Amino acid sequence: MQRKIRIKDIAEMAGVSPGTVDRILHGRGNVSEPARIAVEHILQKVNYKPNIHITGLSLKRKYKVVITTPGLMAGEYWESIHLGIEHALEEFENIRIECVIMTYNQYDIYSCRDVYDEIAGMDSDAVIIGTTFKEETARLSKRLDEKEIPYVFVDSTVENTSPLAFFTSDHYICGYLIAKLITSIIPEGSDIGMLQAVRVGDESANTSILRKSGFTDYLAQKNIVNMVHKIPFTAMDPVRYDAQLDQFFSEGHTIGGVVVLNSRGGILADYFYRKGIRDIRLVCVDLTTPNVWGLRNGFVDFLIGQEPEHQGFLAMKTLITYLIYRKPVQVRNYVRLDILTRETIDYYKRFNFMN
Amino acid sequence: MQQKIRIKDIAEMAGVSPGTVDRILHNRGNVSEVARIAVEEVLEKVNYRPNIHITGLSLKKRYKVVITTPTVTEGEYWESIHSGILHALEEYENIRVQILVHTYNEFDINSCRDVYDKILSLDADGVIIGLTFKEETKRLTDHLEEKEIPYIFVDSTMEHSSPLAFFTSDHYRCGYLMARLITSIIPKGSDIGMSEAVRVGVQRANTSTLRKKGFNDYLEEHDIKNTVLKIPYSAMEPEKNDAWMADFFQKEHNVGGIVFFNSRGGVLADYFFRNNITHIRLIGVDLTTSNVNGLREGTIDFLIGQEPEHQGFLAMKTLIEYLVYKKPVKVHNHVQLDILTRETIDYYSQFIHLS
Repeated sequence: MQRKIRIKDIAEMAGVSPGTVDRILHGRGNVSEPARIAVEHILQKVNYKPNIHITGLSLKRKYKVVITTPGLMAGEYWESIHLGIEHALEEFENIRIECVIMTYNQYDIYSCRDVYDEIAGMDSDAVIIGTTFKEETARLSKRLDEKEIPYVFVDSTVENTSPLAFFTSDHYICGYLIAKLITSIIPEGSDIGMLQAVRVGDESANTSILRKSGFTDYLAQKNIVNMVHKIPFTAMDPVRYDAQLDQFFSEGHTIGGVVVLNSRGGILADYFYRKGIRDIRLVCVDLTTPNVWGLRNGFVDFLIGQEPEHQGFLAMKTLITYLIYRKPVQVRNYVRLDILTRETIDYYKRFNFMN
Repeated sequence: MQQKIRIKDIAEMAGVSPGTVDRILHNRGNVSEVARIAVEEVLEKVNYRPNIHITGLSLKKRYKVVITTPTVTEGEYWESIHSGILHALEEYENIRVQILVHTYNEFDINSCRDVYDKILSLDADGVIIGLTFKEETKRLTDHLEEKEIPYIFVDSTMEHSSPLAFFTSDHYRCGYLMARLITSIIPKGSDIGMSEAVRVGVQRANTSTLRKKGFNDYLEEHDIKNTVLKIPYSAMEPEKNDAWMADFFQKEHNVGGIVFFNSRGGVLADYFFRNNITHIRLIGVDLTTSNVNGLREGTIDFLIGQEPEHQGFLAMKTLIEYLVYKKPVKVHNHVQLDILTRETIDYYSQFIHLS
């Protein structure tokens, strides 16, 4: 009979809300000490044994989670995603998770293909994917689907795949927003430069494609006729940045502003700084160390943040919860798009979501 | 002997980090169920009794907390502060806190004076103050200090007072930011309109004064010579506003943009919408219902948010923890300044810190 005691009954006996009992049973959220003690007292009294079976299982079982993203560099976007993932692991420190990190070169489609082939051959319980190349990722997803291995996307999602969930910002809206911001701050009639990564294997990154589409749509919808010029740069060859930028800025366009649709805006901020260029507006994406430096020093006008720590945190947390409790999962999850300026950056808390 | 067991020892025995034990003992932060059960098992084994004295005390004692802010209207700024306070109370539902809400008319200094006098006659354990009038508040805090009643400021703080803590945004910075945003999006040489609330009693609200100072400093530092015009409006007699605005726009034809230093920008957004005015840029503060409507409709270009829910939440949480646990408190606390546009508003979750 005691087994039929419901959370509602316990709540009533302890004089708290059912939500509090639930939070205590699942170890979630802040609960005041008196509430916890009151509830635990009742739990003991009625001999309530929450999820004892699942607990035993999760303690013994070891989960292997593969994390595949572009290569990591200190102070860059993907490092923040990984930081968020680590925070989730800390929260679930007693659950035995083996993380296998497999990164690829985001500017080289062949590197991505090799890494994905290896992952498809591995025996993992789940995969977290930070995608760059659409076709490659669709192929990997299909192979994971066949093996019934759940996968979660961070940073961006891919059509015709069946992820357990994705945690991304809305990249199309991001591009649309960038167009709005840059066109509202540059002198009327001036041209816009757009930094464009040159990749090996001739495929643009997934996020850049979406942002570019949002950017172009904004201009078309608002009948904006400013010229947009591509600024090519070879991400894998930093020695050539200066020559490529020198070449572009000597072509005689009247550039009023530049947008960078990936996280490499800092390259331009640094270039503007060294060349003493102060009259070209710059809008870019992600709170990488060079981008934030550019923002604080007035070379970047607007920086768009997409909560990478939060993305990574939620991806890993969702995956663990799913593996252990098999709870249903919300598939589509969009994080914030944060607009930052040098005035607001000091007050911005990257881990706001963790208390 | 058992009383000398340290958190570190418990952590070791349970196979978790000392931080996790601490979080469980103080009911803070998310802890996995598995970790919680392991730690509690050890706690039982060693007969650890955390804060039993304080717990007994906090359950018996009733705390009287007075909350005084401007009048609360649905969908407006102060409602968000109050809703954050309520969230904190839910978290501590087992601690007996009696809440006395005393609001005043923020456009009438006499109303504020009356309410403050009443508060002094109450025997409160703590006071949360959302202030508008400086001199009046100074009188209140002097009295509270004499009676050794701790008080916390939300929304804004004040010189020559000794609050237990304050939770505000940086209003000077907010005004500075608004100046930068408006001057970067209006046509060169156009005039800037500035809201001017008509109040009973000459004193201007604390936050508006700071924002105005930041605004003027930005213009001066950047040698910006655009004419700044005052637009009077009344919150107490809104029926007058239409005539005042019609009058203003009949006289002034070169207005490129308008800044609203308090949360009433929606008044103007609504006027623009009804009169089909689309060529004037508008920047407002706070995510009130009417401001958010204006942002979505495109009459407001940028809206600055200052996390009022978070302010209220942290103020009440800090006060309770101080009253019950006598925890040391950090005095200066600035929340984020969030820049929102119609593109980003849909992804902005106001309660992110409570999840």
